[in-house]
Amino acid sequence: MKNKNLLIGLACLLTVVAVLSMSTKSQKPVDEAKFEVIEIGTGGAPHWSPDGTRLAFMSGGWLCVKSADGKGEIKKVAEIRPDFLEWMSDSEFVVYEREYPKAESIAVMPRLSIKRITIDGRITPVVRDTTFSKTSPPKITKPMVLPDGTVGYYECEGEFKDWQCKIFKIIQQGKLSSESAKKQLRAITEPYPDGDIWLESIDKSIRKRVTNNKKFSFPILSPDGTKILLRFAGLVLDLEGNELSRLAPDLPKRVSKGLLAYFVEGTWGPDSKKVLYMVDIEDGHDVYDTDIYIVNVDGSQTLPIAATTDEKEAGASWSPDGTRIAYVNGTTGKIYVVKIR
Amino acid sequence: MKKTLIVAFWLTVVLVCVNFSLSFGYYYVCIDPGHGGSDSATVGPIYGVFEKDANLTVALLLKNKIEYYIYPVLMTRTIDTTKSLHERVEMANTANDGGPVNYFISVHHNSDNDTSVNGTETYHCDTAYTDSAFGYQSRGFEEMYGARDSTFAKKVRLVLRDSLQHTYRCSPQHLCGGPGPCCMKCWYVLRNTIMQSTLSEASFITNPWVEYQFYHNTDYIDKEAGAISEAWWSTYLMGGLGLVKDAYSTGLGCDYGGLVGVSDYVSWNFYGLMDTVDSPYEGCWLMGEYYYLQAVTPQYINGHWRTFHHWAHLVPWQEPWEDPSEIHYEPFWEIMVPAEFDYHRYVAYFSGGPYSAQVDTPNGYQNWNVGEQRNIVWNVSLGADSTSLVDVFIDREGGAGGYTEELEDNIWAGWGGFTWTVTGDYSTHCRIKIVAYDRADNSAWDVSDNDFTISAAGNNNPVIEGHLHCKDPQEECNECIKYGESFTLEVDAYDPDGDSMYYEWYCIQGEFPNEQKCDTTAENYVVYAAPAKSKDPLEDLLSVGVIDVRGGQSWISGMLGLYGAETDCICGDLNSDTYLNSADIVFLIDYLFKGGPAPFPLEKGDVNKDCVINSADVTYFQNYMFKRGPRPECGWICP
Repeated sequence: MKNKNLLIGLACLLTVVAVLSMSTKSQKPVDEAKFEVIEIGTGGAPHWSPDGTRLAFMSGGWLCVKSADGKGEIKKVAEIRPDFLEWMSDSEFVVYEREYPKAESIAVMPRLSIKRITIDGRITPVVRDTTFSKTSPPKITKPMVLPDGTVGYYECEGEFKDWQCKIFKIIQQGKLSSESAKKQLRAITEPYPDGDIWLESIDKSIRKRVTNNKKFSFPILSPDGTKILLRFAGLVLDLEGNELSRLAPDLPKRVSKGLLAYFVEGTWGPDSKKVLYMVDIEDGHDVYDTDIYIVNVDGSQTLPIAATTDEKEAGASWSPDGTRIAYVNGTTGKIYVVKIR
Repeated sequence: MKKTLIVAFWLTVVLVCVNFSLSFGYYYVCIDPGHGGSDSATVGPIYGVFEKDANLTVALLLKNKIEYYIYPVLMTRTIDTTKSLHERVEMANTANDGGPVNYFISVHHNSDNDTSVNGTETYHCDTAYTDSAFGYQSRGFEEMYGARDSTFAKKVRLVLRDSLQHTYRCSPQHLCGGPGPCCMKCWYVLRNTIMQSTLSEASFITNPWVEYQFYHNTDYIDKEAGAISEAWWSTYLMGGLGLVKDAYSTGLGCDYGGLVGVSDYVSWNFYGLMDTVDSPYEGCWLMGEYYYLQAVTPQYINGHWRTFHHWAHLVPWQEPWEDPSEIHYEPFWEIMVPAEFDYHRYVAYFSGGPYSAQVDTPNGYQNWNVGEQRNIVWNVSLGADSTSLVDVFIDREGGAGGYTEELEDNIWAGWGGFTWTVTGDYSTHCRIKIVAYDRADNSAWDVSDNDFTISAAGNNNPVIEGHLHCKDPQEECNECIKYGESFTLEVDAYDPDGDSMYYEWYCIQGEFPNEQKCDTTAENYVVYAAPAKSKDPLEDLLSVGVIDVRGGQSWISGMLGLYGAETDCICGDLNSDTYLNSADIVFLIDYLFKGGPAPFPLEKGDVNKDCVINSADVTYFQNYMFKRGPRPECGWICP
């Protein structure tokens, strides 16, 4: 018991040191009492396992996994080059790769493939498209993980003008039956990327118009299916297209000569009550700073999670239970987990 | 309870929704007009043209040109709106049902504090990975091609040079490796898009001429868009083999591939922008049956319809690829599937280039000796079938002779040059011309930008002694040169080999002396009538070349001043009071060490005529005043 108290004390001390360290560089105040920061390792944007106990990330060309509490070693799972990576279950991943044939010409198109990778590194091909060329669009899309856990991808057909991806092929069934899973909805815009918002079923058999004669982009349906967030505008709408709130009404804004701050990559919290987003500061050519915030869905209580002025914190994602946020410091490459008390 | 509500919601939606689906098509190219909305970027100096507007104008024209090739284009913005770089990247990376577009082009314009600056920069990114925020995704093609794929960036630059007469510009720290000009910097949109991407800064909006074009909406804008379009399709659509189709058997039966002799599954792989008519894209091709092939290519290049040359042939599948034994020179070809091969390849090549040519070496100022082996180097954008050839010519009169002397012909352009054993007459005015052409006689040419020299082997250059100076004993050359007077310049030189020599005089800058007198080949250069007096002193950089008859040469330059007022011509009268006294020494000391006013003209301070104004001039003057040293002189001509 004494040792446990000692460890807790040490952890608290480290936490305070870590938070103080953050706050010394911070332009915006961080509520130290709300955070505990755990360093995970070095790599790219982290992905939470479905049970919230581990994080997967790319590091040095390897798919790596480490415990989300920062303990233990980093496990190298497989050497891959994915365009898309996500957990399918607590012991398996789905990845999407684009492999360029060994050719002299830059005019070739890549071979597309979807693979499953177990936590032990066993790779199983799911599907491969070798017909993708300059005159033939791809026959498959990258995989999707649906809200119920179903994993699948689209099969596509047609030429460029009439290319369609309608047949959803399930790789792994989730909580719902196959047919029900395909009726799950997602928010899209038509035309892409700026257009009216529609709710569309995964099998594209069902569509419902949300807005009329508007120009929105990158909508996401909330987990409870009641609201829509515009990922790059910070705007929250109801399913009738009415504006509910603006999460960062001052963005975009000029922060200095030539530099503007933008709301980017908003993502719903698991409870649909909070939104995680990032703020990029850029000049139209490059991004010079990225900070991470969470905010209530009504736009109140904006809380900086990682907001230093000299380092780019990005790639943030919610843990499945909504109590932690993992992100990567794009400047140092270090991955952190922040506990929100 | 919550789950029940969610399912109920979905079911409700299912019940009220209409069952239909629309197609979005496949976005082939993403065009990104840089900046926009609150981010105006650069502003033109005269009319206040915003870079964001120029970018959008060019991008919309570019969209039309690429869609001409039937490829749908995604725009990151079509109006003046604010978009983050992150959102632009996301658009390109996820445009096709979550998948990326094939190509990304970011359209920008440049700026510089110096409004005279103009030119083209095109950037590509050599890193294999995206930002960590994007999960360190591999960008694939960089790894495959050694992270050096700058072809498109180079072509944009080359086409812009040819169509707009733009110079090339790239900051030294951004120059990419390898042959040919391009810029390498991983701007955000370049390193984070996961397809072939480039960022073009076609011209400088801070240049008043460029700004004028945008303000008045001239056809220049269309040329910018046309150059990018041409570079795009010639790089990505026409690049490589120009292969129209592979037909191969997988041996799995007709529906899934079939053994030749029974039926043959035909799979079409297009590596050029071609199409077929009256022939199946896929299906069973029966041995002994006849089929039509047709190669169709776009024929509108750089604002002109051009003739293309098609042919096709049938050869057995072979690795490595070898030249075909049978060539058919028409775009249509009725072929019979033969029985003797298991694998067949049908190929249609076409000629679509070359689009540009550039002499890299010799491009001026080289000195080559007869008998040496020298490399003549060029940069030619190859035709679509990569079979362009080059003829090489030389002119020894600075181009005035019409390049009638051919050095070599029918060299494959892809070699990038050839080694020439220098021969022929000596000349200091040699220029090389290359003419690149393809089988349809599409051609491009270039000549050396400046003269180079061919001289005899082992020949020594003339030796110049001392500075360029006024000729003695003509008195006027020891006096101040004034407006309206005549004077004579000379250079002292000899040839170690005893060759006879001649002289070439050049005015390098300024308006003095008279340009027409600069062409003399005399040893002495006489300026018969200096210009009439003007309010300010004039100066001009003069150069003289001493050239022997075997091509050896040496050069020297000097700055010549011409002054007006009589008092300007009293050497040593630094304070212009017409007297030489200690006050002039004080004046010089004040100028040198105390921030006092400068002598006027400045050269008057060079009293020891060593072409430098320093404490040695003070000492010289003091020696004159107090130790009977030589009289102050005027440093009229300095190198």
